[in-house]
Amino acid sequence: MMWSSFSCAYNSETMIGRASPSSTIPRMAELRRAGKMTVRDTPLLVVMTGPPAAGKTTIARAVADRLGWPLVAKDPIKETLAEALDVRGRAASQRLGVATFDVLFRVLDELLRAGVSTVAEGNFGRAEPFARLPPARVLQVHVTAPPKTSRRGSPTVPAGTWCITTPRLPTRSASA
Amino acid sequence: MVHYDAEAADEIGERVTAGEWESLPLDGDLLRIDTDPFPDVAVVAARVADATRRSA
Repeated sequence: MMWSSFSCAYNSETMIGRASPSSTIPRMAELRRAGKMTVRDTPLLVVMTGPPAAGKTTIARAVADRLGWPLVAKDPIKETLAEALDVRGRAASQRLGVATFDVLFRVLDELLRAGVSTVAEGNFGRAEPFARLPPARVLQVHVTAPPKTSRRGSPTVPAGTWCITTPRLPTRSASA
Repeated sequence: MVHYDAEAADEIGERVTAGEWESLPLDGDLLRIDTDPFPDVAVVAARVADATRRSA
């Protein structure tokens, strides 16, 4: 196993988005007392990105379980809606995908507004929706695999050498 | 767990090659995980969790 250039430094410029009107989530006080969720003045949002079938969901689930944070993932939302609405066909699936991201970001907005650190997972294609979320410190985990791996679904492959790197630290202006 | 729209599977490789689903230009740290071969998820989760603690 290889690690390289692992860096986790944050600074005051890592916040994104703007504050939204205040609201509450039921049971927040209870959850805080129970220590089941990490609640800070500025919550942390772990964003799992990468192509479909690269293993994002598997890793996101493990990360969320390890941290004891909620996981808001695209596929479970989409699959639930698809079943409930009996969505069939490529075009309908694409429309459902758009709606799924709308739901996902609505849930993220509510969680972050309440100060709940969260793990978000999906094949996100744009940064703009994140900029509209309440302030949060962001840690992006980009899961990658060669196209052939993505297509066949690699998580059945035995563990081996891999790495986490921080090749760049995006600037604030880059997300505008 | 691995899942994706089966009807879109044929084009996923082409879209990845074309640069779709690259990392997003978000503020904050960026960690890259190569899943070929697939890593021990428990180890990955521990390191990501460590990264979140360092940010406290």
